[in-house]
Amino acid sequence: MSVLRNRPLTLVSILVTAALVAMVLYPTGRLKPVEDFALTVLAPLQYSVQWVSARVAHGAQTLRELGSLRVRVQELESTVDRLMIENVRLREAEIELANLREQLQFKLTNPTYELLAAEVIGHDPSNLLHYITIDRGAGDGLAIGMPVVTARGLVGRITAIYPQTARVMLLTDRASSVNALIQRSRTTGVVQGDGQGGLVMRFVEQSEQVEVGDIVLTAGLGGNFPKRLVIGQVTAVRRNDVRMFQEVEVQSAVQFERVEAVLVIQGFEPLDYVP
Amino acid sequence: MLLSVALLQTSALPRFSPWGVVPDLMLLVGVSWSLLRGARAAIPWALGGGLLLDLLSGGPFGAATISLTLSSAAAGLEQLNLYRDSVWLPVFASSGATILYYALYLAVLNIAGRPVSWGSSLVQVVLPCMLLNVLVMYPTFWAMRWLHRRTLPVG
Repeated sequence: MSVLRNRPLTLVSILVTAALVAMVLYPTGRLKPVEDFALTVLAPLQYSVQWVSARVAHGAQTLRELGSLRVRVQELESTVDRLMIENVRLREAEIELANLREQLQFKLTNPTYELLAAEVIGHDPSNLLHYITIDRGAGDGLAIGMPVVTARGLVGRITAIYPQTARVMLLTDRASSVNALIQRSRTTGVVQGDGQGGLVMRFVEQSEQVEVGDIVLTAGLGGNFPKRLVIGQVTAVRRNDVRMFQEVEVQSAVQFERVEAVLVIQGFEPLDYVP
Repeated sequence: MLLSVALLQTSALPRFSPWGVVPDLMLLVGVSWSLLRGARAAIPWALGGGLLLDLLSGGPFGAATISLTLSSAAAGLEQLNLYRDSVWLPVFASSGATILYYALYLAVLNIAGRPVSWGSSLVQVVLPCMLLNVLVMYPTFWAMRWLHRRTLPVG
């Protein structure tokens, strides 16, 4: 090597010769093993250099764009915020639309009822009682005893009235009782709240046939509620030979604790309501 | 502030009610104040809060006022014991106050002629409420402690 270092002309001559030989031999394919070996050795090096240079280039680009990226991030964040708010609004509108559709459907299927739509603005602060407060009151023509429904069924009745609001005792309250009948068999009983969000139909005679899936309607007896309002569906029947009556579990389609909008049946005048 | 708590309890929290029950925020505020300032200081809060709850409730008027005042005042007696600085005190105080609150409330309902089932109310209402109240007690207690420190008389 020292010979080559001291004589650059010799080195150049060797390289030129090698290049000429390579140029002649390359088209014949005789240099393929050498070429393969060289590229096999070079490939990892190429990859490493490319990897490092790409990172460096990206880093440099990021540094250059840092200022504009900050602005862009802020823009995107505000866009995301705006879209989230819009999304919430749309969801609320969708729920409201569904409620209104249900109410309209109820109105169309019950054309004889004079209905007033109301929104639920509060629930009873005690977990032992089941009442809701609605945003319509005496000023809207409401009165104590008026039945309250949704398109899914009976909700309860008004037990207290104020100028702008009214308090509604839900069917699920322990103090609530409604004369009811089984649609299929016309069996009568009294639907009472169990105080924990459920309904029980009591005073159903042992001889009466009640089956799971039967629809329970208001009987209209006693004059507290109009006839044929849907209360719910039978989910269980408990018969006991020792007792005089069987007990029927009723599931309402109304989600009493989550109900947001209701309809008050205004035209109906209840008889001798005692809160 | 009591009005905000009452509105929260009746209009906001029912939307987020796990196990079908709502935390008794007003009770927790009364109990926290009682632990921080003593029973005597908590009684006006409990009276005011109870009246507000009665106003917003369909139950017999006075049921919440009586139950809330007595249970908040009882929690204040905890101040006398040696564990007043324990981190567990809010848990025990809120649990005990919840049981006392509902026992008194059920008694008032019973006296007022409302149908009451002690057994099922205990299992299906009082116990879930007690657990939920314990969970909500700490944030309530911290908030009330912050207020307590801010409103301490100088000197």
